[in-house]
Amino acid sequence: MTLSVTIRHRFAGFALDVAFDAPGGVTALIGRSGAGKTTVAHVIAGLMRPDMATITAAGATLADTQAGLWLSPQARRIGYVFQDARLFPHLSVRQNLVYGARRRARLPQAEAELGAVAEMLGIAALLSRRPGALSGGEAQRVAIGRALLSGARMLVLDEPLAALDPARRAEILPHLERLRDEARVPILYVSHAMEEVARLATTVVALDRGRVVAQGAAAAVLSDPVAVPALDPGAAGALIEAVVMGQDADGLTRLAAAGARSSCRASTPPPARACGCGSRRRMSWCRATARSACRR
Amino acid sequence: MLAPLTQAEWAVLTLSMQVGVLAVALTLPPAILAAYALARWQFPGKALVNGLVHLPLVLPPVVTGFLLLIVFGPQAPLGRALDAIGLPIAFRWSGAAVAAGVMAFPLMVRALRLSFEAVDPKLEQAAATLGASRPVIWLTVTLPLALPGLIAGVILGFAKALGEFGATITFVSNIPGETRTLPLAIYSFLQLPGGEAAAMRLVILAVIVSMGALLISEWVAMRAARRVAGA
Repeated sequence: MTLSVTIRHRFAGFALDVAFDAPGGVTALIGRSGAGKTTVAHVIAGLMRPDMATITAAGATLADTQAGLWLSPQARRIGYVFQDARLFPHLSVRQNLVYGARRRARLPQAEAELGAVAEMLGIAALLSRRPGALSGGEAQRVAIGRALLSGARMLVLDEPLAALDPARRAEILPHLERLRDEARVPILYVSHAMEEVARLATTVVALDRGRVVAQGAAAAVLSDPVAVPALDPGAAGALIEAVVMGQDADGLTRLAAAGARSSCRASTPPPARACGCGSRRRMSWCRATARSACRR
Repeated sequence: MLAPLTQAEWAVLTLSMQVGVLAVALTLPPAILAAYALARWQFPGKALVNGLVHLPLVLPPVVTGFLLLIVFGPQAPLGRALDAIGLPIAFRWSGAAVAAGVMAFPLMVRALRLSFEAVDPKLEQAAATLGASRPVIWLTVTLPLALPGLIAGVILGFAKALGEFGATITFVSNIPGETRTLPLAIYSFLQLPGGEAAAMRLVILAVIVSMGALLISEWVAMRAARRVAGA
């Protein structure tokens, strides 16, 4: 397992008791506001010390409180992307990007990777700018690049899109997909937005009131009724992996669900959005959050 | 080249600048420490420390000067110790700088404290996740972001040091060429019959120097603020 986490902590009126394992790829930590998602992320990054925690990530033990081990945030090499970007306002975008690398004496590597990372995140044209001159979406992509270039063994993205408007979110999501497919760094993605989770996650861990209610492959968890309490009302739905067969004249998209080959028609407009995961020549594998729109 | 100023006036001006610069240089490190501690740390006796820091602001300057004389005077142990290592300060220009620095200390701490409080601790947290140790975070994030306040504090302290009178004359007396700074020189001329004209020249000089310092600080602080704002 790439990430293995056990955390117990008592707050006034709220107990956190969480244990989950995650393989590589993107693990989404989902749950409603107050479910304890950000607390879990903070504990993993070492920003908050709970009563009990055992955390291993990418082969390294970051915390084992029973054995008295608690690494500082500096020593963990967890690239944390905060909801509010938190770029250093007095440094240029380029200086922000290499800040972590400079601290960990891996500046040459970061300089070598900078171009590719900037290109992947679409920030190559912004390098000489100051954070104050960036849009929210741009700032967030720079923050992701900064975490990535810091030599992180793992990224924690704490609701990175929550502070952005829908247009900005749509602008970043493709970059996050590239990050997942190209960066080869395991990612813990904290979110309550089903749209993001359905598009990005390989594994899903659902939290509700400080407890894990479901965990496993994204498709399985997201269509599991047990996970419903972890979702925002109205976000409950099924994740269906399907092949786009074509588009009808009336604007509907014909989908072939993987094994069954039963044709499912999704009318989620516009069709391209439901199937925007990139194509493999003749067919594109699609992940759509099918709500009432999908009928058999 | 120095025609507008007589030799004596020039001596007064350079002595004042010398005292002002040394006063700020001596006071800045403890002022930074005190301001940061008051802004960020919780410790027992914090209210007491805060009171002590502000003491020179509320005490009559003569009292501060007298206390300095008790602590650093030629007969006091500390004064003798400084004498022994070749750094006598009583009745020396360096003593004038100490007096001016003590008087400037609370003003500098106040300016610095506000600017430290304005630095977002979330940025320091972000720096920690990027591998920066506490001292490095302080040097690369906290201090640069507090820079406009730091500059304001330095200029304020310098202006206060230039104008300091009561503690200086009590602690190091009024010795021409050694401890007679601008305000002391003006005071001395006013004690002489017919000295008003000479005093007026120094008054104009004091106004020019103070205004110059203010304008430079405004300009520097504006540049620093723009840099910190990140635009």
